[in-house]
Amino acid sequence: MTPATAGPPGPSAPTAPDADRPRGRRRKISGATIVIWAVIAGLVILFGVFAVAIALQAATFNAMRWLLSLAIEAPLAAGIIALIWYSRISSRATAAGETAANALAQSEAKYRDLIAAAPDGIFVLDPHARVLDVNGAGETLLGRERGGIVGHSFMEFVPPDRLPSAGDYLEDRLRGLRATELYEAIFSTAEGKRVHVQLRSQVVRPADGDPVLVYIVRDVTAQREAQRQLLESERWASMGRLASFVAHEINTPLTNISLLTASIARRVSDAEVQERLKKIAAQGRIAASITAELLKFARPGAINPVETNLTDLVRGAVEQADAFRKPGVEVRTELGNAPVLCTVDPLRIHEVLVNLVKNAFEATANGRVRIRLEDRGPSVAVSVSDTGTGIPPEVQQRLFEAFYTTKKKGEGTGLGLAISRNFVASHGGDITVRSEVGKGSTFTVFLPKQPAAVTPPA
Amino acid sequence: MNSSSAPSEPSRRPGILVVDDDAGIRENIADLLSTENYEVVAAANADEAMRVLDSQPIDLLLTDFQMPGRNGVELIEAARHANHQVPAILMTAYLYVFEQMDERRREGITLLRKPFDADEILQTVAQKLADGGGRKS
Repeated sequence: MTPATAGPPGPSAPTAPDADRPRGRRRKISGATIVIWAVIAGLVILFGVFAVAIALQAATFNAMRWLLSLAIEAPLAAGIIALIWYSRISSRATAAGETAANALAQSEAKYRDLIAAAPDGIFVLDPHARVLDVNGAGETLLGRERGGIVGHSFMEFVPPDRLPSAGDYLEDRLRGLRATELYEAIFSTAEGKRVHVQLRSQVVRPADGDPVLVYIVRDVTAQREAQRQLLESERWASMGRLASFVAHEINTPLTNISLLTASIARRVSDAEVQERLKKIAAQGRIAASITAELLKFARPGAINPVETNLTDLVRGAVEQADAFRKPGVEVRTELGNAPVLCTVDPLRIHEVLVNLVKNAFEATANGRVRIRLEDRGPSVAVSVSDTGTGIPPEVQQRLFEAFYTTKKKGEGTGLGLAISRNFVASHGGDITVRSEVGKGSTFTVFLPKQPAAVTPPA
Repeated sequence: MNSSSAPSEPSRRPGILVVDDDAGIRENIADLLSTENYEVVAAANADEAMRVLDSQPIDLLLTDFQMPGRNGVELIEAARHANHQVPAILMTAYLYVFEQMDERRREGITLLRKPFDADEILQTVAQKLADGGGRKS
């Protein structure tokens, strides 16, 4: 049998003389073609709408977005449902003859091509979340081969913390709820990476048999990350402005308090008055050190990189922090024999290192603090390890946040590590932390030997 | 506060000109410095300061950076331009603004970071007077 050509009237040409069958066939075949084209058009529009919806995500046109997507997706949904239904019905109606089977094969091939080429991940699930089918984009999204997806439970690809939400969504959809929701979900890839997605779904309910869910999934990890970074930088910028304002406004009265206190101290001889004036001055110095921290955080300023021997810098920092070392704590420095030359702002990196070593001493009641300098060719790593209390994971996450502190009130501003990270970042470097509760912590400063953007002296 | 002793008199107390637009800071610095062995004159802005420099011997210029009108660095430059080779201390909280200035403009200026405490200002003043060796003009 010659395969029919693609045009709609084509397949109906070689027909039997039976009066009823050709009409039936013609209806069926043209119906299939219309459905296919409707689905093609629908999918094309859907991807367009998805793109528009994501573009509008940042704006506040939620209502408009939903109206728009509803209006356009309704026919598409009908198309997909009709197609799947049609293919099921026709697969059972084998008696309809070879031409129908041929048309079915064609429609299936078109459906496959379309699904395979779709830029969004498409997953077909049974009501128990078992994956019946997936397209190429879906495989890419999960970082898994088809064989590692089809036949598996969809819930295997959802991180544990999101399982209840994903389960609720599936059940709600089967109950006919949340039909228009753009569901925000998280998948985990084969390598354990979290992928942020937006998911829409359609439920296909054949007359007999179980319903089938079609999940259409778009990866929005990059957009979410960009949004998060933008929000974060706005948050830091406004916090910086606040910090700067407060610090400057408080500095003038602080200076006056110090000047007047000293002036009185020079005019009176009463020992008791002198004693109290000293206390006022000491309190003033504490307040001034807090405003100084605030300003450092608010305006890290330009760095002044000069060629510096890090070996000396590290040694100096360890010496300066030594005041915070408890008697039972041993210090070990592994700095190597050769000087390690690095173009950095010595004042700022010194401050970073003092801060890290001081923190290590404060965290360690007895045991050891080890400071190691490693020359890694184009970069250096300075690690500060302690055998102290360690840092629980939830604290580690917030460790470098400004104003976050686990120290007692009055013992820390919560700015030390935030400032340190700012300073290191302005050198094009980074600080990382590894820690285990009860075993200790290691902070490592990575610095390029030549900072990425060294501004030549004016 | 102003001494009437002649500039040539070697035993004359060092004259310090304090310039700040904040009256509280200006008066309190003057008050503190006058407890030491200094002659202190105060001015609220660069124009007033220039008139003082033109009219009496000054051994040290202690000026705020950010002021209405000419700022502290412009005042120091104007003073030098008018041939008052007076050692200068600049008081500022805006370190980064000063740090970003041309190196030649910063030359010879000692920075006193705000907020300072009484000990810091007394030390910085004493040090600058010792280094400056008095008036050079």
